[in-house]
Amino acid sequence: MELPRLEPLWQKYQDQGLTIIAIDSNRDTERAQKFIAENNLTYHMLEDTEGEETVVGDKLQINGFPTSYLVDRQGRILYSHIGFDEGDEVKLEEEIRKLLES
Amino acid sequence: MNRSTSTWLVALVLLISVGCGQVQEQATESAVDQPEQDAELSEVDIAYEEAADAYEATEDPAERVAIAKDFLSRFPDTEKTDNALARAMYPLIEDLEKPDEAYALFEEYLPQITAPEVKFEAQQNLAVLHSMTGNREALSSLAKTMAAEHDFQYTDHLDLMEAAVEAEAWDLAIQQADASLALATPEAFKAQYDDISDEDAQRWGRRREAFSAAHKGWAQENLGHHEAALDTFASNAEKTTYSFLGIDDTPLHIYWGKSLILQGRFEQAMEKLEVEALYGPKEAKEAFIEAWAALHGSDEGLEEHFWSLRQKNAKPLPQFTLANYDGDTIDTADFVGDVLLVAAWNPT
Repeated sequence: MELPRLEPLWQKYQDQGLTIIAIDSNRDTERAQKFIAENNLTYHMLEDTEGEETVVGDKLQINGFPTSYLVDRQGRILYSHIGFDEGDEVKLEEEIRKLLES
Repeated sequence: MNRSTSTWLVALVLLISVGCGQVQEQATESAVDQPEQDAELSEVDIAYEEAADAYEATEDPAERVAIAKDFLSRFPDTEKTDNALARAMYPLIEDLEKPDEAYALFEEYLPQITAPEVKFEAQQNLAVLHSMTGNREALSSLAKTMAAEHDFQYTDHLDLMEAAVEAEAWDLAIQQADASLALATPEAFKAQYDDISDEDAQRWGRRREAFSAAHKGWAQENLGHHEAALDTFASNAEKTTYSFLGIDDTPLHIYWGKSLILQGRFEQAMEKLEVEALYGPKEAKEAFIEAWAALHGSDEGLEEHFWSLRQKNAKPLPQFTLANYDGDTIDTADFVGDVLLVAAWNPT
């Protein structure tokens, strides 16, 4: 699972201007809160909206999970990651560093 | 199994889980109907419910098979038999470690199923098994049997088409793609969803055409029909739809790019794969790298190239506000100037 692997990145880079937002697209509040507590996740954990237009499905057009977007300081999506394999956090950290420095 | 097909396997696995869900649903419905006839659930219903709960509670495929088998041995011939047979066959496919055992279960149980819709679903799952093991002849012969026994819907052709591509049964893939194309019309969409607008029916119908054509073109390329393949891709490219990042909602551009690689047209391949390689599935990036390396002799300079492509293709993150679990509202506009990682997830 991707989320716990983001926590060390958040701890390491928040002072340099990294923000992490995770959105539960299912609005499965009970499970989500249990998972967040068990894994001590401290970055922004949000629930998607109910109803006609959702953030994940409609605004971000994400329909496979996990998927993440990495956005530069100008607000542009420079990287997208579909799925999360062993070792992907290393690549992700390189990309975060590159965007923090540019 | 090569990586090019692994993405589409996700869809097939989804088919399996949807299939199981349907089995469960039927079981629940009949259990609910029962009390109207007599005040209490029958012994069979109670045992089935217990077995179903135990089945859902474990993720171990072997345990699931054992639970279903145990039920069948205790209640060999009831109205629950078909569903129990189905449940006994499916678990081993999901993470196929023991193909022989999976086949043995299908051989034993599939012929015993009586309800046509449960049988068809079982055949669809057997098709997945054939595709995972690359059993082309068995898949083609199963497809014939299924077509003779059932009226195929659009998605039924699609499932077989994807199974055929996975198994590299190219003739079958083309046949199923053509059959699905015949049903991928706006009219079919309107018939399926009565509240859909004409405009949407048109758009989604065309996207279905692009989806089928993507697989057809890839099959044509693999049969050595290079020009026909390129023709299929080009004549369907404008029918597809794109995400706001510019990713094709169908695999058409990925198969187009991969076909061009097989034809040695590496620059054209990279052009087709560009956006998919940046934001799409991993296989698109891998194909792009293959084309780059073939053209340049190594992957030197590739990272710089990707960086410039990212600058060129980057789209702004749509602004949104959502609540956290404490009820506080978080607005992405507050993070302008930060590097922002937005991760979409589902708790499991």
